[in-house]
Amino acid sequence: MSVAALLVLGGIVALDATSFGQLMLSRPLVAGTLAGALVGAPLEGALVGASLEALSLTVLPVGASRYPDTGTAAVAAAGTLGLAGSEATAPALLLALVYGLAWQRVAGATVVAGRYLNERMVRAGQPSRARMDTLIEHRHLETMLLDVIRGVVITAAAVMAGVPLLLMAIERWALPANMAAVAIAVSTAAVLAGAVPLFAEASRGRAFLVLGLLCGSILALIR
Amino acid sequence: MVWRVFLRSFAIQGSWNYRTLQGSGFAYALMPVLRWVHGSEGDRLQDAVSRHTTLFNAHPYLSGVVLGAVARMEADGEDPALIERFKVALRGSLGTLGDRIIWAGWRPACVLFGLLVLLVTHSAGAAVILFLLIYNSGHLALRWWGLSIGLEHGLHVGERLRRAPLTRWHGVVVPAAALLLGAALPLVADGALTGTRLSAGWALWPAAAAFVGWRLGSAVRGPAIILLALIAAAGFLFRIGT
Repeated sequence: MSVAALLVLGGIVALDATSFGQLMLSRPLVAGTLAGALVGAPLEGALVGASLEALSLTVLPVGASRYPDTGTAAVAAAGTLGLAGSEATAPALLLALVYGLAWQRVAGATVVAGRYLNERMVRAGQPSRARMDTLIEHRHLETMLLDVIRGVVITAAAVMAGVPLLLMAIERWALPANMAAVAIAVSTAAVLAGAVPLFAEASRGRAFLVLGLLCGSILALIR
Repeated sequence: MVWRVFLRSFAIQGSWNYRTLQGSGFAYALMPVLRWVHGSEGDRLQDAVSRHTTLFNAHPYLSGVVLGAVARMEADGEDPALIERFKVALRGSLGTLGDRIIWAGWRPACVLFGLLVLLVTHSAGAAVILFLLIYNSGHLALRWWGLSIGLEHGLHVGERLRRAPLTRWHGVVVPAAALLLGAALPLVADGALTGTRLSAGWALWPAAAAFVGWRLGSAVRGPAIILLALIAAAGFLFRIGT
């Protein structure tokens, strides 16, 4: 039952990313948390989603640029971790995160393929111009349906391949757990700091950044 | 009918493609107006649909500005060539404006807020719900406002846009994002994303990485991901080596 719900979530997230809504259900933080909740691991899902989110903060979907599909990847990573039944240790989170990052590329490639397919579908039948209004409406709805199917298929493939892979990887992990935690902290801190030029170019922005660093340091000390 | 156009505007990117970008989505969203103005069948409707399936691209949240203005112009019986020139003139600037204030401002600010709620409270539900509520309050308001001013001002919507408080709003959002980013960084560097706490010696590595990230900007993403993959691979290699 939870697997079926996960596949439906994959479809919804794929649709939300571009085709319909853009309500940000497809942000990794949201998609990962929801996926984790569906498979009984909400906090683990949220941590994987949050890490993917931090690593995606500087990815901007500008114009016709091609970018990784972070939403379905978050569903895949968090869903796989939850279905594998692993504890939320740092190595397990790292392996799920790396799996999600790899899956972003695969899912991103299907987005590009889908856009070429959309082009062919929208063009088909146009030269006749007979009832072009209904043709456009039908083609438009069909392409959105295909996007949902894409999300479901991607999620199914990711979970089928991911659960045994992750279980095997966790079992064979041999580095100290601390290494995995440091690796995640290093990567996410670097990418988050890479967003500084977006917000702190002006002196006012820099002042707020410093104030935030002070607040964050206090929070880190007392947590 | 305005509500139907508003709801359809959420699907403007439904058939996004590399030839017309949002072109057919624009025609799809505008269809209720085109049927109302040109009748539900006949050559006038087919001509109008054909005109609006050509290349179009704007920020999806601001596309309502053009949708509303074009709906008004179609209803007023404006020259199709003028409508086409109007769309071409507005689409680029709305794309740039939306990319700047939404994708590079409002969205990352809300994301950072959600991350911070998660890292501080450890409540995934609170983080997600607050993020979605805050982000979408701005998102939905912007969509509705865009369609409304388009419908109200038609061809002259550009003048209304120049008076819009969007840049002032962005001027508030960006420092807030800087504050949230600054607050999230020490927590992330301390290991909060793995639910652990790094010792002072280990925490120096993320701090150094943050400095490198600050210097490199968004170019640091690739090396950071490669590092993660290498550490994951090292987990196996270490076992084989021992």
